[in-house]
Amino acid sequence: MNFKKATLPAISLLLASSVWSSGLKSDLRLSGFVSTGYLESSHYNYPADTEGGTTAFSELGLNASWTPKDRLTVNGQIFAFELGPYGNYDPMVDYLFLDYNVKREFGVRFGRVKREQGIYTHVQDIDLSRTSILLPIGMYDQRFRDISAALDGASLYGNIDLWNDAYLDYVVYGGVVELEPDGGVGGVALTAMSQAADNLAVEYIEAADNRGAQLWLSPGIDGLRIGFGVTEMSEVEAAITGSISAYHPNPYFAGLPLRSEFSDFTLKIEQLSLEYFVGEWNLTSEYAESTTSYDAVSSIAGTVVSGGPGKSKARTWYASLARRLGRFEAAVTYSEENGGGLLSSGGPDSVTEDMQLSLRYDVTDFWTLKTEVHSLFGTSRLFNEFNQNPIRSERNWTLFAAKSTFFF
Amino acid sequence: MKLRNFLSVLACAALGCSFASNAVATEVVANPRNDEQIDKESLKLMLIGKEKFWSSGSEVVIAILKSDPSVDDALSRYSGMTTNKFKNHWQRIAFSGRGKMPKMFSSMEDLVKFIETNEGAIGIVSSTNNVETLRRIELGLVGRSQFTVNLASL
Repeated sequence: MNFKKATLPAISLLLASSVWSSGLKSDLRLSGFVSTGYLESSHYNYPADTEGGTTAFSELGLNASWTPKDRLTVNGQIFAFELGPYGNYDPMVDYLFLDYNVKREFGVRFGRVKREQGIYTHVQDIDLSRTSILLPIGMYDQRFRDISAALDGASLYGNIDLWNDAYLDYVVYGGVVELEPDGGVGGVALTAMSQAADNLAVEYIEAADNRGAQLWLSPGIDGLRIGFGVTEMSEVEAAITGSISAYHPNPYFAGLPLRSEFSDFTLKIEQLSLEYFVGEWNLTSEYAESTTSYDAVSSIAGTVVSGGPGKSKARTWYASLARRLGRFEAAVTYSEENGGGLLSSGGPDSVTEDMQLSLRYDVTDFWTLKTEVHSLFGTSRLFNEFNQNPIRSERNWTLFAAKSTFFF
Repeated sequence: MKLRNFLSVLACAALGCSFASNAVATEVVANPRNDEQIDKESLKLMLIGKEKFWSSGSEVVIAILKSDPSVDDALSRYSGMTTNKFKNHWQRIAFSGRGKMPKMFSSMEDLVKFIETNEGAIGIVSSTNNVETLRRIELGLVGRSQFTVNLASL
């Protein structure tokens, strides 16, 4: 673990310990959730090994919140998940931070803090917070949770009165994001090289600096809020190794060692959000643009064969309408991603369109069942780092999901 | 009698209320050691998790009685959220470490006891309940409850 990344949570614990030793004041609150599900697709393996159906789709979390002093809280959550080859139930500190609320208009969090971007980034693991099982493809992808869920650093936040009943919520954050070799960024890099090479592996992938802000304007209409978020990650460095594919047009190259280094990787995302609850209806819609730039150098058998800067841009949006009927909740969601293709060959490889129907039933106050079906066009979100999607001949495909969640 | 009923219907239609609003009135209660005065706007900020601490520094802890329609109605009016939205809103807050879920109680006795022993606790209860040991917060009657009282006097 990177020193900087390990240090901030450790400092949080140290400060918490010092507060503990200086005298307790308030209660400790524990809560958690256990969620397990099933995924099956007509073609392709997304987001796990879904083509034959899979139950490798589970999450569990245990969190604690403690208020040892006036205006000071300590919050933490241990989280583990399995999503096909991702997660493997490796327990991780999802968040662990000190929160000092000076006043409603200003507070500071320090430690491993949740990264707030749009409606769902900071609650992407919290199945209970929405009608659907899977969040809109292209904007929220659980395979990228290593870079999207939290960062080690600090955030400033507050709630400011504007005109009449209007107010503004803000969060500004900065820190370091921990990248996992088997996480989303590694998956993208391996997928991008998978058509040219075999036996691919991430040699190293290093932490990203991350800074950003999320603003929410509540204009004084009950249930309505409008958001704008911007985030930038930089200083990511990675190296991928493998061997040239046996099917390379020039048989002389087949089997030779291949190595690609990525440096000065920068990702910037700007996101507009709208959420409106009126009665038992809930309308949500978001639009995001992301720009990626990097320098790449590839060598075969130690000889540099290509190099130079690269840049790509992707757009994604969705709209969702949900209706509550007693213990039932139904939602229809349409989402679209364009330009985010991992193979950048244009056509269905660089787009994903998804029409999603979701149904939720709250069996009890602590148990929720969900089911949903997706009708998809395009393959831009398919990974191939485990050779799970080697051929992409089908443009239209479907995905079924079911999930059960207990919480306390 | 007929005229009075007719006027009641007219008044309700004009004010956007219904006879269903003839629910039991509710009260906002707090720990007796907490003498801070709040208004409806402050109560709303507390209920939606924006105001997390009292001026004294004590943490705001919301206490709610489950399955009480009059409390649900009052909670919706004060927070501006339906019961389901309120629950969903707090799940998002609590599971991302930004606050503590409101405490839900099945019995009035447990709720009263909780507020008595937690300095920052605040709750909404039906006026029919005996809450003599708690401090009643005077917010002024709001929304449909106000009209319910007026209509009852017609």
